[in-house]
Amino acid sequence: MAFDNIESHGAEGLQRSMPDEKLSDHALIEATKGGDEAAFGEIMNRYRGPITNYLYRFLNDYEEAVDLAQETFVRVYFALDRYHTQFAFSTYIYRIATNLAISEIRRRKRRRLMSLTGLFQGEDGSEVEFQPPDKRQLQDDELVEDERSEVIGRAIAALPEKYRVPVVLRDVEGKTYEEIAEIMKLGLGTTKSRISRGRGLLKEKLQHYL
Amino acid sequence: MRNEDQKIQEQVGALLGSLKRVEAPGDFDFKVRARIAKGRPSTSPGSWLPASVKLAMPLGLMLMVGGYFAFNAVYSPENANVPVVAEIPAANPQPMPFAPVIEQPAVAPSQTVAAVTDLKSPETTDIRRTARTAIKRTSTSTLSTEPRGGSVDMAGGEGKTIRPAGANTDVKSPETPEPVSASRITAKDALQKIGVTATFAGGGWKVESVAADSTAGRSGLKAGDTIETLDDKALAEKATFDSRSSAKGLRVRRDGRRVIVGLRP
Repeated sequence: MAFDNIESHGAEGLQRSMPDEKLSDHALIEATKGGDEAAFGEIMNRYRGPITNYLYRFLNDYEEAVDLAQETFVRVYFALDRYHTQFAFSTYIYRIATNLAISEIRRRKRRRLMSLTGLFQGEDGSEVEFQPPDKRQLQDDELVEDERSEVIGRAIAALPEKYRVPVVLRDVEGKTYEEIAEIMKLGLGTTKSRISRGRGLLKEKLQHYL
Repeated sequence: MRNEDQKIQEQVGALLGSLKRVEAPGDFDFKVRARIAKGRPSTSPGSWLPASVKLAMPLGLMLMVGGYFAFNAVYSPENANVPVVAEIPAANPQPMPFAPVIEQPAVAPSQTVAAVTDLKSPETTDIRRTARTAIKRTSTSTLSTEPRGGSVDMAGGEGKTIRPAGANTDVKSPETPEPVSASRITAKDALQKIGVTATFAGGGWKVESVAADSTAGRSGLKAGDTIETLDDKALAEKATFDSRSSAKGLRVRRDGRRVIVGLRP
């Protein structure tokens, strides 16, 4: 499955394989296994946005999110033979993205040991951003929105990862509890409990916006 | 209370849901394809071993293998079971029936015993064969109380004493002389035949003089040596030898040490 010539015939191949209706993820996976590179292009088309957004909200770093989203697709591509279609593909790809993001967070923590930001850590070792109050007068609505988004992003990023994953999947990506439980390989009750606990932690940090 | 908590939960959820979504950059697909064309990712996401353990495992394995070979090299069966045996104390003059001690004379290197230096001569071959036979015999002997082990020095290292395993010095030599016949000669005559004038004293034949141009003289025998055996046969005072046979080697006691002297014709 080489990608060298996908640009030249990818679009046509995709049209041939998807004339009318939208193919399922599983069908696209099977087509990719069979050598149809355009099918993998369609998978990327469907999931690059959600995965990038998920990773961005998880890491609060756009460049890193894009890099890990690309890495997610690379890993999916090379693990296609091991993918079993009895599981939902969306669950599968989100699990890969989550694992990569958690690894990245842990790598950051190790790096942070050598930096001053390591002074601002929560009780469980998670990062707590130092947020001095900004008393400047706000300029306009756009700036207000940017500021709000920034604060919320930092509040999410400050959550311990065991709460951050389910909260982002639920409230940002709109996944169901069952899907989240499957992605995290947790029980349904544990998943709901963690989402509730994560929201409770966010409420304390975002009191101003509630 | 529960309703209020539920309400806050929903508010937080709504707040997060209201965040602006980000999109992937335009070259996203291109970069993914470039990475795929480059090859598989170098690290696996499920790697749970710390880097130190990853390094320590092969290192430990290498140490174990190296240690195994080093242990075998130092404590090989030959080395472990064949200790270097010290010289036999001079206070025990009884002859050994079939376990000679081979020693290179330390006095004059020019008179090095043929058994050590001339490995190709027939006499040397005989002595080596005798020594090997002695080792085989003594290795199975149950009479010995001496430490077991030993080997034959073929390299001619100066001053090295190598003695076969289980060399038994306690076995008495036959005291009863064999009957003298026309074809047999006494020990004294046998010694004279190779150029040695000796008298029996102290369990051996004390060499008084050695003819320079004789077999014994050429072989490095010296006045003052005490001859204990001739061709592995104990030299008792009444011992007899076949007059037609030619002597090949002597075991002598010299300066408190036992020395094998190969006889040069």
